[in-house]
Amino acid sequence: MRVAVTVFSTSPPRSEPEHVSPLFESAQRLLLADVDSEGVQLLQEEAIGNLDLPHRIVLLARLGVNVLACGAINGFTRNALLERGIRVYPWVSGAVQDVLHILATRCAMDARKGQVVVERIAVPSTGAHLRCQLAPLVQCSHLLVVESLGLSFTATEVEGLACGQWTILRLTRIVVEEGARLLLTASCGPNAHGILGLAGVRVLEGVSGVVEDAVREYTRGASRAATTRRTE
Amino acid sequence: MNQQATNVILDSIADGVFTVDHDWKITSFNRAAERITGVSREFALGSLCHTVLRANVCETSCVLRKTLTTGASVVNKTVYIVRPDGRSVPISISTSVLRDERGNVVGGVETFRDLSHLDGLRGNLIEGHSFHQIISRNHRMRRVFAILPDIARSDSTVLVQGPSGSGKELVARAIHDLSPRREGPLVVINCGALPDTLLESELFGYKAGAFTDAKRDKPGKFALARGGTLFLDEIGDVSLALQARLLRVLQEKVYEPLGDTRTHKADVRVVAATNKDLKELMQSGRFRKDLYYRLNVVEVFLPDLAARREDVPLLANHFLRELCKAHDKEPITISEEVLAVLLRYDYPGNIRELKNIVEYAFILCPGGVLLPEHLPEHLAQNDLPPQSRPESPATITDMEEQMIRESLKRHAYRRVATARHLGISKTTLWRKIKKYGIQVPR
Repeated sequence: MRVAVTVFSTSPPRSEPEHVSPLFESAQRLLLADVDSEGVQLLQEEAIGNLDLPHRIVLLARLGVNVLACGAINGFTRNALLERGIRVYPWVSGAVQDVLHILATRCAMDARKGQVVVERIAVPSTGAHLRCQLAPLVQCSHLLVVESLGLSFTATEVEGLACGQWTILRLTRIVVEEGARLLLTASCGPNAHGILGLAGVRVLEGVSGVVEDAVREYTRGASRAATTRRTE
Repeated sequence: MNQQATNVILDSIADGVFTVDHDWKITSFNRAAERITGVSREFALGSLCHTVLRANVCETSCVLRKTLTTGASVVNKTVYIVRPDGRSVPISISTSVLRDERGNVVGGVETFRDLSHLDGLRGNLIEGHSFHQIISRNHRMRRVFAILPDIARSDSTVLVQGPSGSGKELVARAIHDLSPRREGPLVVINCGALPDTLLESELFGYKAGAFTDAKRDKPGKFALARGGTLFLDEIGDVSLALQARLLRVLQEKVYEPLGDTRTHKADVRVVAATNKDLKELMQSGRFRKDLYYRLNVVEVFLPDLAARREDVPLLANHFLRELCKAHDKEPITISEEVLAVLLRYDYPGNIRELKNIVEYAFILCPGGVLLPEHLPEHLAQNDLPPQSRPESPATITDMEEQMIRESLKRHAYRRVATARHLGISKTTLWRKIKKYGIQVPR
């Protein structure tokens, strides 16, 4: 798929990579890439600072863009893009290369969709085992990825990472690389929703208690819902 | 004062307040900031400020960055932010440097006020200055508003004079709506848009067989407006022959459709309008004196928009509100910079031109605040600061050339309109275009 990411023009410190622009309507640069399950192929960069809104929309359509990953975007603009068949992932922030990597990982997961038998669930928690408490995304010390059948899991320590969206972006990379497509959490902010949405990870908010209980509860609920659907 | 007490104070104020450290990470975020941005404090704290505020200036001209670089505070700059729900919100921001107790700079503080509620107040203001959809606070227009009900009550013919786009049709509608004929129809016809023969059959109608292709009877506008009002726009463009027929209708209140031998009664009230100087046409023999005096029983004169500049903000806000409503868009606020540009412009096309400008800007504006970059290019160029304008003309000849060039450009190189605007004949204009070697696009 052809992906466009708006690139933040304010130069980051030399050690840091380029970020996603905060607002689509005032973005100055656009990076184009072809992304599939094999990886990311960078194409050209377009200067869009001089383009007004209608011309931005026309340009995206002309460049054959299927997916736009950007910062905030006005609802009116978003609908105009959707009408032209361009899928928009708003409130994405962080390093552009991480965003593209997450999209490529999502493509690879989508390609394996039929082969995956056991569902994996990501759960931010206060510790490295299943009897720890489930934590809000921005306050977790570990990220557990639990298999719904058998409850085997991996735990990654994320406490050392800085607060804010960098944690969210790295957490999301871990979530998709571990093959989880669902995240259970107490609460999740708009930036996290943005990047997890881009990664194709569904977020179930308002979940609390012990990790193991929450996963069992979800699995029971999901199987009940599946049974109901079959009997309907 | 401890941190908890500071937070209590910050949370009790109505303006949004947040502070950042040297790395642009948010270190405090009050309740009002949560409400205005739609992002809760839990997620804002520790985040880079541009990933929370999402303002149109974050990337190109960050106000907080400017303050931290120069040390100078910024007060009440109008910008807009986009919330997670996709809604644009106009805000007014102020920034200053944040120092610790020893005076060391530890970051920056930004306060911001939601300007969306101003839209409602503007609406009230517009309502206070409107009269049957005519909006004005100008003293000459207020006089028109005062006499319109009395004019409407009588059955006299009214002549509305004013430049193109000054709202003559709205006045005709107001007269109709206020008159005892309001239950009847209001029929509008633009006399300048039709050739003479066609206009005649449109006004008076025809009988079947009156001419080739007249297969069946067709009622004219006088018949259609029966019991109501007939608005004859651009009456100054009517030929002398037709003027004679119109005069008869106005004098005797009767007319005959083409090909009909019977006389029909004209039960209409006539409101006529023109953007031409009928007195001048009358003196040059192009408009009948008797028709002029018959039409001009009551005269209403509408000033051009440049002469009622105080109405520009009211009208611009009114058009913008109407557009937002029609397109189901969130209310948009006009920034002070845009208002300044709009107030300085001359509007050769009057209110119609202002409406077009607002519509153009509305299309380009994604929401929130209307900014100078959303305005049409010719307006932005018109508003260049003095130093970036072309050099001032040195001689009267240079000045004349510059005036002609600007006027041509403003009238999209239409020579008739330009000549009219400059008060010279078409031939003189043509001679001067040749003299100054001005390239006129075809």
